[in-house]
Amino acid sequence: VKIIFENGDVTEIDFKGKTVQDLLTKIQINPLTVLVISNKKVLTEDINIQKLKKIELLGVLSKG
Amino acid sequence: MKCLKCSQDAVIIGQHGGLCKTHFITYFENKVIKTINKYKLISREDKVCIAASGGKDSMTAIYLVKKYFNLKKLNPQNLFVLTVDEGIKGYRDINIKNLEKFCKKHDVKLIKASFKKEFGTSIDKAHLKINNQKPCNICGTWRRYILNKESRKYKATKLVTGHNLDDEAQSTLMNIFKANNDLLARLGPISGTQDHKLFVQRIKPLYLCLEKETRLYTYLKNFPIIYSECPYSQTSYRSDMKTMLNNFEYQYPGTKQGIVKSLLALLPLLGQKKEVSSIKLCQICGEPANQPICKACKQIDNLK
Repeated sequence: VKIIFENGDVTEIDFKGKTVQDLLTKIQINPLTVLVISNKKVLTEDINIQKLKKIELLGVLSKG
Repeated sequence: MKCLKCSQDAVIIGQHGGLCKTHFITYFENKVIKTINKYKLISREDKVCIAASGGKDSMTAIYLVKKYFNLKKLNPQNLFVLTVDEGIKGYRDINIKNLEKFCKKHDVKLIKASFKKEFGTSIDKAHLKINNQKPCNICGTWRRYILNKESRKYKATKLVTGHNLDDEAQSTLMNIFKANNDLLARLGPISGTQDHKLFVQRIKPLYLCLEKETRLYTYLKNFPIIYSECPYSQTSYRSDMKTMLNNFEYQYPGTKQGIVKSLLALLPLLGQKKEVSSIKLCQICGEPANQPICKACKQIDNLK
């Protein structure tokens, strides 16, 4: 699955899990710190993403 | 997961279940309105200034305080936004342009202040002259100084900040860890020193909103926010605390709420106003200070 970060960085990982939760665990991101988006739709941690080819991660925390 | 109130897909899973876009927006907006009412943050007579950087918290505060004014039929002339240009090229200038558009769209007056105008320099220039201080220390002190001074100049009786539940939980633990009991006593939905005529009372309508909720709200409402990082942003005590609390919250949901609930229960015991009598006027600028010379003036002097 291709992961697109807010700053434009793109990374592709070999993902064998099922859900958003599995993916975030694999890439070691706390679900409280990101919004997970696919086709402008917000995905909750329980959603099955096995069929998705790309997802977007938007940071939650202020960086100012 | 489905929304616990309808059959739509959830956009967030909270402690009590999922909420869809429509029900989350209603829940979030109601929470802010209830916070304003519960803690009596805004009264009919108040002139309200919203401190704004153009980030997610302040944009949300502008939108929802304006909504509150409409809801309560308060005088729109008694509401304005104040932004401070710290002089960070390629960062703050872009955010301020965005903020100008947002305020125009929502018909709220915007007042612009700057470090350059107030202190004769910018963070871009000042940070080159400071050896042992982080730019964020100077930036924070100067920004608070200007926000108080300028909001008072425009006769504001309340100064809205975008502080959320995450900020408050972090500040609470940071002050406890460092035994800063006086600073701890100044927290709460109405912060600052309440009875001094030179201080504009600071209020926090987003006090009970989680940072993730605010980010989700701005995404769903399609607010035009630029999520860039301040070039001076660095690892700090607060950012470490933020990481620790998010890890704890993930493992033990409700942790942040628990911390803030405890703080609210403790505040009356901490003697919020005991420091009022110790407030002096700075011998250089005449602004309120804890010492004979205020921190902002000391920092300016160090740059010479």
